[in-house]
Amino acid sequence: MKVTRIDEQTIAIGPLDLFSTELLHQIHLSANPEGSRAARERLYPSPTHGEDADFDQDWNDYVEPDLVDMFATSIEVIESDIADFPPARPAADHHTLHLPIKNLEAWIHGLNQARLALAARHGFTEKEMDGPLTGEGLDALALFQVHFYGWLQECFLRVLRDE
Amino acid sequence: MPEPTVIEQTDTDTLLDVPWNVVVHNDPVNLMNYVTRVFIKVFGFTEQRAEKHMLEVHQNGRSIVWTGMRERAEAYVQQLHGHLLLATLEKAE
Repeated sequence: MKVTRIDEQTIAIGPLDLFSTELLHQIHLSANPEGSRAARERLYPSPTHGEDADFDQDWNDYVEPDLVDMFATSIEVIESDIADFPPARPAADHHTLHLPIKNLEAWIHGLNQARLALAARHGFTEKEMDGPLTGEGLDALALFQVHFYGWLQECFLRVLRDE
Repeated sequence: MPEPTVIEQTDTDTLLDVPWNVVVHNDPVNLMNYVTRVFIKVFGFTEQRAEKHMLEVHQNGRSIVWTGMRERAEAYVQQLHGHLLLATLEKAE
């Protein structure tokens, strides 16, 4: 799989198998911190490390709603870009996803939300992040997701850097 | 002649006067290139300066990326949170 620049406005990611495609469709779910206090605290951290409760409360009341909207916008862009992917025809095991370069900022942000929320939800530390991709079960799948999304982020950052 | 009124200096005045640091903390997930890009975008740093702060975060666990008036420091922290970096406000020593 590789990310290729097609023209001034477009990049292509492919070939994407069904598993990788499914991971793309999991971005919005992975980015949602609902049900995990750790994930929520990571996406919306205290601006004072919890040392000023009054200021933290004001932050929650006045700043956090803007952040929630901003984060949702990135995810909406991603969802819209993959809404019809993979196409029903032609039927194939692998497909190529075309993305507008103008949407890459939103992708980088949405992928970051997903990575941070997943890592917090599964309690990944530096040890897991730098360790091998071994094991089974939900933790192993989540770790793979974090790295897969990270690889995409790196590719997109490179495209934007070469702009 | 009436006694002059003494107005006590409030804590708020003190808080507004002292400089505040914007501190970015390390996390194991954010990519180094991403953090560098955010510093360039938010603070207008050169790539070299942005990388220096990114490496400071990575190696020392934290980096003071800006110091100044409270209101502006809050705005920077908000922008950094918007980019999902772990950032806090601290009174400068």
